[in-house]
Amino acid sequence: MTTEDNKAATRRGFEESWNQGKVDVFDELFASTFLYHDPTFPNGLRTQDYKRWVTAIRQAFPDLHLTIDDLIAEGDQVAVRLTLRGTHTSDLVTVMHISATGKRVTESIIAVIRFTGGKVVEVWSQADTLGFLQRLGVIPTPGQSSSFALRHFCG
Amino acid sequence: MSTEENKALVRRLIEEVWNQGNLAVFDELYDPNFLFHDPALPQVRTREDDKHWISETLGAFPDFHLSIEDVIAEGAQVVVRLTARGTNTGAIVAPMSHPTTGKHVTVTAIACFANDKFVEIWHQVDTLGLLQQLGVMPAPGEAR
Repeated sequence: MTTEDNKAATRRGFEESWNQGKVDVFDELFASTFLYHDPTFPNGLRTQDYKRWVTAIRQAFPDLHLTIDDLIAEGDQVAVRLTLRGTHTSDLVTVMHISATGKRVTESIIAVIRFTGGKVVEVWSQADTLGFLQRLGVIPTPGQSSSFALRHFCG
Repeated sequence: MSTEENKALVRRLIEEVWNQGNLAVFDELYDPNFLFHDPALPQVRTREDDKHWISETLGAFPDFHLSIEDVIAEGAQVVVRLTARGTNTGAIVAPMSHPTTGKHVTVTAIACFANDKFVEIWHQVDTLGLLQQLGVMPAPGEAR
Protein backbone atom coordinates (compact mmCIF):
# COMPACT_ATOMS: atom_id res chain seq x y z
CA MET A 1 0.00 0.00 0.00
CA THR A 2 1.34 3.42 -0.88
CA THR A 3 1.38 6.52 1.27
CA GLU A 4 -1.35 7.90 -0.98
CA ASP A 5 -3.51 4.81 -0.27
CA ASN A 6 -2.96 5.29 3.46
CA LYS A 7 -3.88 8.96 3.26
CA ALA A 8 -7.04 8.12 1.28
CA ALA A 9 -8.02 5.51 3.89
CA THR A 10 -7.43 8.08 6.64
CA ARG A 11 -9.59 10.69 4.95
CA ARG A 12 -12.31 8.12 4.34
CA GLY A 13 -12.21 6.93 7.95
CA PHE A 14 -12.71 10.42 9.38
CA GLU A 15 -15.25 11.56 6.79
CA GLU A 16 -17.54 8.54 6.81
CA SER A 17 -17.50 7.83 10.54
CA TRP A 18 -17.01 11.06 12.47
CA ASN A 19 -18.76 13.28 9.93
CA GLN A 20 -21.43 10.93 8.53
CA GLY A 21 -21.92 8.51 11.40
CA LYS A 22 -21.10 5.41 9.37
CA VAL A 23 -18.86 3.91 12.06
CA ASP A 24 -19.00 0.44 10.46
CA VAL A 25 -16.38 1.74 8.02
CA PHE A 26 -13.88 0.98 10.77
CA ASP A 27 -14.59 -2.75 10.42
CA GLU A 28 -13.27 -2.42 6.90
CA LEU A 29 -10.36 -0.06 7.59
CA PHE A 30 -9.03 -1.46 10.89
CA ALA A 31 -7.00 -4.63 11.42
CA SER A 32 -8.34 -7.16 13.94
CA THR A 33 -5.52 -6.13 16.28
CA PHE A 34 -6.46 -2.44 16.13
CA LEU A 35 -5.77 -0.41 19.26
CA TYR A 36 -6.66 3.24 19.82
CA HIS A 37 -4.31 5.04 22.23
CA ASP A 38 -5.59 8.13 24.00
CA PRO A 39 -4.75 9.27 27.53
CA THR A 40 -8.53 9.26 28.20
CA PHE A 41 -8.41 5.43 28.01
CA PRO A 42 -5.48 3.95 29.99
CA ASN A 43 -5.91 0.52 28.33
CA GLY A 44 -6.76 1.84 24.88
CA LEU A 45 -9.84 0.99 22.83
CA ARG A 46 -10.42 -1.91 20.45
CA THR A 47 -12.50 -1.43 17.31
CA GLN A 48 -16.00 -2.01 18.73
CA ASP A 49 -15.39 0.20 21.77
CA TYR A 50 -13.90 2.87 19.53
CA LYS A 51 -17.03 2.76 17.33
CA ARG A 52 -19.22 3.12 20.44
CA TRP A 53 -17.14 6.08 21.61
CA VAL A 54 -17.37 7.89 18.27
CA THR A 55 -21.13 7.25 18.25
CA ALA A 56 -21.51 8.63 21.79
CA ILE A 57 -19.65 11.82 20.92
CA ARG A 58 -21.71 12.32 17.76
CA GLN A 59 -24.90 11.86 19.80
CA ALA A 60 -23.79 14.52 22.28
CA PHE A 61 -22.69 16.90 19.50
CA PRO A 62 -25.24 16.26 16.71
CA ASP A 63 -23.76 18.93 14.43
CA LEU A 64 -20.24 17.56 14.91
CA HIS A 65 -17.77 18.16 12.09
CA LEU A 66 -14.11 17.13 11.85
CA THR A 67 -11.91 19.12 9.50
CA ILE A 68 -8.53 17.82 8.39
CA ASP A 69 -6.10 20.77 8.64
CA ASP A 70 -2.90 18.89 7.73
CA LEU A 71 -2.22 15.36 6.53
CA ILE A 72 1.20 13.84 5.89
CA ALA A 73 2.40 10.29 5.32
CA GLU A 74 5.72 8.49 5.33
CA GLY A 75 6.33 4.78 5.19
CA ASP A 76 3.51 3.00 6.96
CA GLN A 77 2.42 6.00 9.01
CA VAL A 78 0.08 8.91 8.56
CA ALA A 79 -0.05 12.00 10.78
CA VAL A 80 -3.05 14.27 10.85
CA ARG A 81 -3.97 17.55 12.48
CA LEU A 82 -7.72 17.98 12.96
CA THR A 83 -10.22 20.49 14.25
CA LEU A 84 -13.42 19.17 15.78
CA ARG A 85 -16.38 21.54 16.01
CA GLY A 86 -19.82 20.92 17.47
CA THR A 87 -22.56 22.04 19.86
CA HIS A 88 -23.13 20.09 23.07
CA THR A 89 -26.91 19.73 22.85
CA SER A 90 -27.27 16.20 24.28
CA ASP A 91 -25.77 14.48 27.31
CA LEU A 92 -22.30 13.03 26.71
CA VAL A 93 -22.35 9.50 28.09
CA THR A 94 -18.88 7.92 27.85
CA VAL A 95 -16.06 7.78 30.41
CA MET A 96 -18.02 10.37 32.36
CA HIS A 97 -21.52 11.67 32.14
CA ILE A 98 -21.64 15.31 31.09
CA SER A 99 -25.14 16.78 30.88
CA ALA A 100 -25.86 18.88 27.83
CA THR A 101 -24.36 22.35 28.20
CA GLY A 102 -25.37 23.91 24.88
CA LYS A 103 -21.75 25.05 24.47
CA ARG A 104 -20.10 25.28 21.07
CA VAL A 105 -16.66 23.67 21.12
CA THR A 106 -13.67 23.90 18.81
CA GLU A 107 -11.05 21.28 19.62
CA SER A 108 -7.59 20.67 18.19
CA ILE A 109 -6.40 17.10 17.76
CA ILE A 110 -3.15 15.62 16.46
CA ALA A 111 -3.05 11.92 15.66
CA VAL A 112 -0.50 9.40 14.41
CA ILE A 113 -1.88 6.42 12.50
CA ARG A 114 0.08 3.25 11.73
CA PHE A 115 -0.84 0.93 8.88
CA THR A 116 0.15 -2.67 8.17
CA GLY A 117 -0.88 -4.23 4.87
CA GLY A 118 -3.34 -1.43 4.16
CA LYS A 119 -5.20 -1.74 7.47
CA VAL A 120 -4.97 0.58 10.48
CA VAL A 121 -3.29 -1.20 13.39
CA GLU A 122 -2.71 1.65 15.83
CA VAL A 123 -3.78 5.24 16.40
CA TRP A 124 -2.24 7.61 18.97
CA SER A 125 -4.38 10.67 19.48
CA GLN A 126 -3.81 13.78 21.54
CA ALA A 127 -6.48 16.41 22.05
CA ASP A 128 -6.72 19.26 24.52
CA THR A 129 -8.90 17.21 26.88
CA LEU A 130 -8.27 19.52 29.82
CA GLY A 131 -9.42 22.52 27.78
CA PHE A 132 -12.43 20.58 26.47
CA LEU A 133 -13.60 19.76 30.01
CA GLN A 134 -12.94 23.35 31.11
CA ARG A 135 -14.93 24.74 28.18
CA LEU A 136 -17.86 22.49 29.12
CA GLY A 137 -17.57 23.69 32.71
CA VAL A 138 -16.71 20.24 34.11
CA ILE A 139 -13.28 21.35 35.35
CA PRO A 140 -12.71 24.87 36.63
CA THR A 141 -10.30 27.18 34.95
CA PRO A 142 -7.81 28.70 37.40
CA GLY A 143 -9.63 31.00 39.82
CA GLN A 144 -13.01 29.26 39.67
CA SER A 145 -14.54 27.28 42.51
CA SER A 146 -13.60 23.60 42.42
CA SER A 147 -16.52 21.98 44.26
CA PHE A 148 -18.74 21.97 41.17
CA ALA A 149 -16.06 20.26 39.14
CA LEU A 150 -15.35 17.58 41.72
CA ARG A 151 -18.98 16.43 41.66
CA HIS A 152 -18.79 15.79 37.91
CA PHE A 153 -15.22 14.62 37.77
CA CYS A 154 -15.25 12.09 40.60
CA GLY A 155 -18.02 9.96 39.09
CA MET B 1 15.44 21.32 2.88
CA SER B 2 14.83 17.63 2.37
CA THR B 3 12.65 15.57 4.69
CA GLU B 4 15.83 14.10 6.17
CA GLU B 5 17.17 17.62 6.88
CA ASN B 6 13.84 18.57 8.46
CA LYS B 7 13.88 15.48 10.66
CA ALA B 8 17.47 16.28 11.69
CA LEU B 9 16.31 19.77 12.75
CA VAL B 10 13.59 18.26 14.92
CA ARG B 11 16.02 15.82 16.51
CA ARG B 12 18.36 18.74 17.30
CA LEU B 13 15.52 20.61 18.98
CA ILE B 14 14.69 17.61 21.12
CA GLU B 15 18.23 16.54 21.95
CA GLU B 16 20.06 19.85 22.23
CA VAL B 17 17.38 22.23 23.44
CA TRP B 18 15.06 20.04 25.51
CA ASN B 19 17.29 17.18 26.68
CA GLN B 20 20.56 19.11 27.11
CA GLY B 21 18.97 22.44 28.05
CA ASN B 22 21.04 24.27 25.43
CA LEU B 23 18.90 27.33 24.70
CA ALA B 24 21.80 29.06 22.94
CA VAL B 25 21.03 27.18 19.69
CA PHE B 26 17.42 28.29 19.77
CA ASP B 27 17.73 31.22 17.37
CA GLU B 28 19.61 28.99 14.94
CA LEU B 29 16.70 26.56 14.74
CA TYR B 30 13.75 28.95 14.78
CA ASP B 31 12.62 31.49 12.18
CA PRO B 32 12.12 34.98 13.71
CA ASN B 33 8.45 34.92 12.62
CA PHE B 34 7.84 31.56 14.26
CA LEU B 35 4.36 30.81 15.64
CA PHE B 36 3.47 28.25 18.30
CA HIS B 37 -0.03 26.80 18.62
CA ASP B 38 -1.26 24.88 21.65
CA PRO B 39 -4.73 25.66 23.02
CA ALA B 40 -3.54 24.65 26.51
CA LEU B 41 -0.70 27.19 26.34
CA PRO B 42 -2.29 30.40 25.00
CA GLN B 43 0.58 32.47 26.41
CA VAL B 44 3.10 30.67 24.17
CA ARG B 45 2.91 32.21 20.70
CA THR B 46 6.28 33.61 19.53
CA ARG B 47 9.83 32.28 19.43
CA GLU B 48 10.62 34.18 22.62
CA ASP B 49 7.51 32.77 24.35
CA ASP B 50 8.54 29.26 23.33
CA LYS B 51 12.10 29.70 24.62
CA HIS B 52 10.71 31.07 27.90
CA TRP B 53 8.27 28.17 28.26
CA ILE B 54 10.98 25.59 27.59
CA SER B 55 13.21 27.26 30.18
CA GLU B 56 10.37 27.25 32.76
CA THR B 57 9.58 23.60 32.06
CA LEU B 58 13.21 22.57 32.46
CA GLY B 59 13.31 24.55 35.71
CA ALA B 60 10.23 22.75 37.02
CA PHE B 61 11.56 19.30 35.92
CA PRO B 62 15.39 19.42 36.14
CA ASP B 63 15.73 15.76 35.02
CA PHE B 64 13.37 16.36 32.08
CA HIS B 65 13.80 13.93 29.19
CA LEU B 66 11.98 13.66 25.87
CA SER B 67 11.98 10.31 24.05
CA ILE B 68 11.04 10.19 20.38
CA GLU B 69 8.45 7.46 19.73
CA ASP B 70 7.62 8.23 16.07
CA VAL B 71 8.81 10.65 13.39
CA ILE B 72 6.86 11.18 10.17
CA ALA B 73 8.02 13.63 7.53
CA GLU B 74 6.61 14.67 4.19
CA GLY B 75 7.17 17.82 2.21
CA ALA B 76 7.90 20.69 4.54
CA GLN B 77 6.32 19.06 7.60
CA VAL B 78 7.44 16.76 10.37
CA VAL B 79 5.21 15.18 13.01
CA VAL B 80 6.80 13.73 16.11
CA ARG B 81 5.22 11.69 18.88
CA LEU B 82 7.09 12.05 22.15
CA THR B 83 7.11 10.80 25.69
CA ALA B 84 8.13 13.36 28.29
CA ARG B 85 9.40 12.22 31.68
CA GLY B 86 10.59 14.21 34.65
CA THR B 87 10.47 14.78 38.38
CA ASN B 88 8.77 17.96 39.48
CA THR B 89 11.23 19.61 41.84
CA GLY B 90 10.69 23.24 40.74
CA ALA B 91 7.65 25.50 40.75
CA ILE B 92 5.29 24.99 37.81
CA VAL B 93 4.15 27.99 35.85
CA ALA B 94 2.35 26.50 32.82
CA PRO B 95 -0.35 25.32 32.22
CA MET B 96 -1.23 26.75 35.63
CA SER B 97 0.83 28.08 38.51
CA HIS B 98 1.47 25.54 41.19
CA PRO B 99 4.16 24.97 43.78
CA THR B 100 6.56 22.05 43.54
CA THR B 101 4.99 18.62 43.96
CA GLY B 102 8.04 16.34 43.90
CA LYS B 103 6.12 13.94 41.67
CA HIS B 104 7.52 12.00 38.74
CA VAL B 105 5.41 12.31 35.59
CA THR B 106 5.19 10.71 32.17
CA VAL B 107 3.11 12.38 29.46
CA THR B 108 2.63 11.97 25.74
CA ALA B 109 2.96 14.85 23.33
CA ILE B 110 2.45 14.99 19.61
CA ALA B 111 3.87 17.99 17.76
CA CYS B 112 3.61 18.96 14.12
CA PHE B 113 6.36 21.13 12.72
CA ALA B 114 6.36 23.10 9.50
CA ASN B 115 10.00 23.66 8.57
CA ASP B 116 12.88 24.77 7.21
CA LYS B 117 13.93 26.58 10.31
CA PHE B 118 10.87 26.08 12.47
CA VAL B 119 8.20 28.43 11.22
CA GLU B 120 5.19 26.94 12.98
CA ILE B 121 4.62 24.30 15.62
CA TRP B 122 1.22 22.83 16.53
CA HIS B 123 1.60 21.10 19.83
CA GLN B 124 -0.70 18.89 21.88
CA VAL B 125 0.29 17.37 25.23
CA ASP B 126 -1.65 15.34 27.78
CA THR B 127 -2.04 18.32 30.12
CA LEU B 128 -4.88 16.72 32.06
CA GLY B 129 -2.77 13.62 32.69
CA LEU B 130 0.16 15.80 33.77
CA LEU B 131 -1.95 17.65 36.34
CA GLN B 132 -3.45 14.37 37.61
CA GLN B 133 0.00 12.82 38.02
CA LEU B 134 1.16 15.90 39.89
CA GLY B 135 -1.84 15.62 42.20
CA VAL B 136 -3.13 19.05 41.15
CA MET B 137 -6.31 17.48 39.75
CA PRO B 138 -8.11 14.35 40.90
CA ALA B 139 -8.11 11.25 38.72
CA PRO B 140 -11.62 9.89 38.04
CA GLY B 141 -12.99 8.25 41.19
CA GLU B 142 -10.67 10.03 43.61
CA ALA B 143 -11.82 12.37 46.35
CA ARG B 144 -9.85 15.47 47.28
